[in-house]
Amino acid sequence: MSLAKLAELRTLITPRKRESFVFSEFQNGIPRGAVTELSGAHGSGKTRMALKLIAENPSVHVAWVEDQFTAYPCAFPQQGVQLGRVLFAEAEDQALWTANQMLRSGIFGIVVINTRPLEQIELRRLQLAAEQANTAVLLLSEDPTIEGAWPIALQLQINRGSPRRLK
Amino acid sequence: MNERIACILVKGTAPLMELAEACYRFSPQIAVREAEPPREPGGKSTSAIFLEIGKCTNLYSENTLFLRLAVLVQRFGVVAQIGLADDVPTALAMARFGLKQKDKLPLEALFDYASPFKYDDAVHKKILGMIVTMRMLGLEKLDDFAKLATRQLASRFGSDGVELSMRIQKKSILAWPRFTPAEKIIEKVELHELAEFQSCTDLEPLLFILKSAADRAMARLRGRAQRVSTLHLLLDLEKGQREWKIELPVPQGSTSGLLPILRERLNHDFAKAPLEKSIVRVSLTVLETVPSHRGQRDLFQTTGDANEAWDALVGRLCQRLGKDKAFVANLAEDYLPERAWQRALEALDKLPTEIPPRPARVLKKPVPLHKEGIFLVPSMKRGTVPKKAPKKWRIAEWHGPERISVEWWMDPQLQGFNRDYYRLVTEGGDQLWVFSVPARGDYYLHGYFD
Repeated sequence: MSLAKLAELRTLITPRKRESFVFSEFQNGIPRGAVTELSGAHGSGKTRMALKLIAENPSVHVAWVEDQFTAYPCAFPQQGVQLGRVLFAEAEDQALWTANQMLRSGIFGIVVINTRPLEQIELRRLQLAAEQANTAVLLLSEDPTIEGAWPIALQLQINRGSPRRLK
Repeated sequence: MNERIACILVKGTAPLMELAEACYRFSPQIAVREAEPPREPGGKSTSAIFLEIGKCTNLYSENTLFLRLAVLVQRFGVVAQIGLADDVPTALAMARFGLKQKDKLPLEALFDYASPFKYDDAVHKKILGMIVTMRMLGLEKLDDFAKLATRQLASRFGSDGVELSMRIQKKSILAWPRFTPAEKIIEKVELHELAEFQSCTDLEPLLFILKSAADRAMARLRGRAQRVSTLHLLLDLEKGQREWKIELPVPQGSTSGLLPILRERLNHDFAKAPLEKSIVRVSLTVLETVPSHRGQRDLFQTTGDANEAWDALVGRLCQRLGKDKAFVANLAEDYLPERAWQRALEALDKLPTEIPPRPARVLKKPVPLHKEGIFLVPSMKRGTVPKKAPKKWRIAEWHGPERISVEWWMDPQLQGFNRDYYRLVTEGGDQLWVFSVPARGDYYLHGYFD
């Protein structure tokens, strides 16, 4: 086998480095074209973490899908997120269809989804759509997905730990 | 600035006025030359559209325009040739003879120089006589005629010959006739004209037909720098009619945005009441419009396309999820947490006013809390069986209060609205947004600093 062919083969078998969004809280960044899960109890700070990621990537358009809309947009500018670049959707039982539409539109760099726990097949579909759109999908959940979590590229558990002074 | 003209020479019958209207997107100065009879036996009639593009050089290159016009012509299902020149008659002649150099034009180009904006039978006959004489004199090309001295022209061909020579040399200025587009945008498709759709009772073939009509309607709307907000769809069946007045959740400026909404709506209606007879004719009428995002400035920039993609997506989501279910949030100047933002279709980019930190999540209905020993616990309604074990929070820190109150002169409905908001930090580090009503001393969970 020639050297050129060997080099070609090497490039083919070397795992492709995934692009990622800069994120000061996580050294490797948040991967594009993949699903990331942020889990934690109510009030643990997972939404704030998502907002921080969005604020640190100011040129990206963001889609924010919730089944029951509880996100509070007034907090977004306080976390450095410009509201004009976020499209919200209150999807009720159609959160996955909505997220899919948003991914297929090719407009958004980040899609945040806050919905019921997803099944393995649904996660796989989401992963494929994210990969095709080269978009970072952030799943916000109370408990981390354990069974059938393989389509999720990165799972981060958010915990503020012991109380610290706010001021 | 010099004049520069693009001419679209259309062969055969065509929706000329509609095509001219769509050309408004490229230039505000448009003229139409109505159909003229075929010049050769068995030939096709021709008509033309002129666009003055000399003042649009900062917007697009001629090459780009050429490609855009080719796409537009195809969208209208028209066979056409495009000519570019420094004046109207030359552009017309170049399009007609498929040439790019003026000096190669044949003598027959004189017909176009004599009457570029309108076919005139009397003028045509006069020029025909002149061409016969010129041939006898040994002239072959338009350039040969242009080289003749004015004195010779006057004696042989009279004032018409002099005027023609001046037009060739661009010494004579032509007045542009005014083009006024039709008031209403109506696009019709007759199914008997389409060989592949002699009979159509299903949604998919109908959408295929609708796409071509919507494509043309949208091209015309773009020419007017507008988007459709309400449209009327009429299906003439072999027996009877079906019609829809469709108010779009978000105005649309592209077919890719409009078609999924039409599909959703028709799919829903056909499921309830399918078409019983085959469609004979489809009419799409634009009833109401709104201005498009940007006018000509961003003609070939991608921001316009991104706006259209955004509108298309929001329209599709609102059609499926319901009005106001896909939105951007605008901040409102209201102290009440529930009214401090509004759902909207377009962002106002309003700067936030200085308020204390707000939680990332706010519950739609505040949940009453009560104390159980050292824990704070959400109160359940009597008879409710919780799915999970109820949450219990042991509070480590209290921050606040931030008093939010509404006086009667601000809103009579909220008279006596008084809340003291606290930010509570639990032992586990979770942060809650809780308020108390001072008059009653009750506590409510209103959100999470999630």
